[in-house]
Amino acid sequence: MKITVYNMKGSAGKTPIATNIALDREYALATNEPYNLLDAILPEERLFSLQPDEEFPEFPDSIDVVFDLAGLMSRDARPSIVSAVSQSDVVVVPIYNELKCIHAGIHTIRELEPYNKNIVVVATKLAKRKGEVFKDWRDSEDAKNIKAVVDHAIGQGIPVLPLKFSRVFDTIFEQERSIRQMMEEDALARYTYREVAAQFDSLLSYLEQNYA
Amino acid sequence: MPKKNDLSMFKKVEPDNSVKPNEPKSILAPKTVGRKPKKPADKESEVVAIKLTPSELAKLEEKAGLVPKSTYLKHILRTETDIFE
Repeated sequence: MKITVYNMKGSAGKTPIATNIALDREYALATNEPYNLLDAILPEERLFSLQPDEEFPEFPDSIDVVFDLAGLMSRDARPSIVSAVSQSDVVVVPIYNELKCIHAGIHTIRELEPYNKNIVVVATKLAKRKGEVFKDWRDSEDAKNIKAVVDHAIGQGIPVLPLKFSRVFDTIFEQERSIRQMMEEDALARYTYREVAAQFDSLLSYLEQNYA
Repeated sequence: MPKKNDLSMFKKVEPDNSVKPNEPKSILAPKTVGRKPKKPADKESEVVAIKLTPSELAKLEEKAGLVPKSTYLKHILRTETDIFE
């Protein structure tokens, strides 16, 4: 399966999501950021990087790969982004509940749609506000706001899946292991990360069931 | 056995243009520069002296120009005669 993770806005959660998929499911990771942290984390043969203005080769369907993309389609990163998105089974657009990020996310979806109709929004960095009560993170104010804007601006066909804020997305890079791998080795991690890990599993299951 | 999700075959091989530091060399280190010595059979070690008149020498020098006289004659002997065949 080929998955692209992209939002033109930085810090939306692209690299943590892509890295966790690559570590957890042993996917290869392809990126258009030539200077990145990933060469210390992933085996050399499963990491592919190029310049933003270069095109990714067409990887065979037998290879599971996640594309972690940065840069702007309207500028020099267009060749790498279009070549990755066009060959992907699904494009994940992480958006967090902040005006700049939502605006960039909507613009990103509009730019991606001509190249790939299979777009999934992940509402990232979800936080519980004071007094807020809910059982499902989809019902959080952050997630509901992101979904409302996506539905209004793009249409109701785009799924919006929740991913709460967690320090674990930094810890992935410090420990060089996926969330699931950390949980298997440490009882405290098993308890602390249970909710975000379940959300991540739901996200991957959704992608595999609907787009693989 | 090929590794799972191996992208190595898609990677470009970049030429190694990195600048190597100059390592200090010991005067005792074996000499590694210069051409290899010729084999004994290939060495031009044998000398033939020829005597010419002053006018013949003047004509030879005129024709040879900047080329050494013996080099000029050797070239003619090798390329325009069958003496060495």
